[in-house]
Amino acid sequence: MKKIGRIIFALAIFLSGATLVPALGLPAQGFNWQHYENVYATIKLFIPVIVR
Amino acid sequence: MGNAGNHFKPTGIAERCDWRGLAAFGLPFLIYLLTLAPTIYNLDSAELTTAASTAGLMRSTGYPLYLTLGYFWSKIPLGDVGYRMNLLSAVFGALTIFLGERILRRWQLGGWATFGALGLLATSTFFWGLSLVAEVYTLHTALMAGLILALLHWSDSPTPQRMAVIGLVGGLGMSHHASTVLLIPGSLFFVLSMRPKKALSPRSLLAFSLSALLGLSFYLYLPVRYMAQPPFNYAGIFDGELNFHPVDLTTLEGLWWLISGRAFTDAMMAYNRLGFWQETQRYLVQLGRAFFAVGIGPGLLGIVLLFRRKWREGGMLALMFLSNAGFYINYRVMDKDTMYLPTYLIGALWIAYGFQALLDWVRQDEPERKLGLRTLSILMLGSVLFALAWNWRIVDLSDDWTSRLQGETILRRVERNALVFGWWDVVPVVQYLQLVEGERPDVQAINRFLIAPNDLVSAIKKEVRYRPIYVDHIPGELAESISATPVGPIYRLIEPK
Repeated sequence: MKKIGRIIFALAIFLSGATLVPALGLPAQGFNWQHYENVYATIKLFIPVIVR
Repeated sequence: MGNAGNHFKPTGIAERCDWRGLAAFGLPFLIYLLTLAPTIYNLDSAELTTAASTAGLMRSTGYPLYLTLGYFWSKIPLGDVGYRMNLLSAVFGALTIFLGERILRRWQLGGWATFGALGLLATSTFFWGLSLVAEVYTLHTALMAGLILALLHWSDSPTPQRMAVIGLVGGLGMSHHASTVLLIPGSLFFVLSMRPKKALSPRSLLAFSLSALLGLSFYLYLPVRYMAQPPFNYAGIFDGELNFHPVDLTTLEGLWWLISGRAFTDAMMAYNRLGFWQETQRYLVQLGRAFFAVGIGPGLLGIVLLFRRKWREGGMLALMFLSNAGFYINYRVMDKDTMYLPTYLIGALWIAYGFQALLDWVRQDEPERKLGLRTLSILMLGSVLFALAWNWRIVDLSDDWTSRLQGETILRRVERNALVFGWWDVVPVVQYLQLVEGERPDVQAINRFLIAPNDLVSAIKKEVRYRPIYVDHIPGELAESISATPVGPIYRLIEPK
């Protein structure tokens, strides 16, 4: 029984993170340029530089 | 630690061949090849591709190593230049996994633990996604894995020669990405806790310094190319008359401005306490998702066990992780989700250590040994296969021609001698088509990043009388005085009569 308990314990550690899946969710999107499309329109992004 | 999964005993040529290393490079590379973006991609990819293939200059922090390697790589006769540079990311992504395997092999971790952890890393959304387009991040993780490996190699026999390897890889890392500086606290902790006298001996310090200088010598690219006045230069600004003022990279001040990332200092350390906590939560969710949540338990176990069994390695990885995570969590930029790859790499090493501990744990008992080992091994394999299948559909870019189509549409539809203003999602692809593929040299395209908002407005007011002007978004200051008509994805500005 103790030996089976060891396996169950190892499985519990392995799968412990999976209990967070409902809260974390699974990946829904990868790296995609459209995700960043138009974001620049809403900001005043300008980098002052040193020039001669 | 254990050697689960190492029962196969090859002979002859097979014996001499490093199958594990071959698989560590070959499997991810094959996956990346099948899902690689087929042509030029957008945003930073287009900027990097154009700069590298034309020996041009990038914005901060300059990336001279990437630009040098990319220049030569872009000449290989395979697909278009955009595809070639995407392929380079795939090579470095697979190289990172290969070097990760070498690190885990040094810790004598078995095949299943290595496969499970590095498989999850290789198929995580951002690591996979950034291996499919021209980007700087997979070269950065490859150099980081190389640095960790060099440090471990030195610790076996702390000779000046091995210290020179650390210096060379560190110097190359700095020549590529200034954030390599975030690896210094962990590296210092490791060498000074391992063999401080050997590390600080004059011969070791000399070997380190000379080889680091060799690695850093790629920075010479910046002044050399500045003097050549390359057609693609993002290190400078346009004024209201549309004259371009490049930053003088032959001066120490100009060079330091570029490589130190001083232009982005406003975005660094940008959050208050509440904002930092919210960003930390976002990051932790992203990290958990990256390893499909199954990595969390074994990863935490791996951190604890590595500290207990190899505290120097544990401390080194923890410091590298905290420096990178802390810096980028507190960095206010829109695409910082893509910048966490170094922490993913360390996360994968911790997970592998935890996986192996679990396998060793269930291996201790007979007769349940086989049942436990099989169950865990199948779960590790299943996690990687599930990540592969789930993420494939959301990261696959093999049929994504959108960036090229958008750029070609713009160049086809704008009038002769047009002036196009736009951000990264519009202009770099247009510049790629012009400078690399020779399309529409009569058109001038300017990234709005390189011109101050007030200069942009005054330039538009002046130029709109003389030539066709197009913008991606109409500046608010002009909304009342200038009308616009859509032309494809941009707008043609029209001066009222």
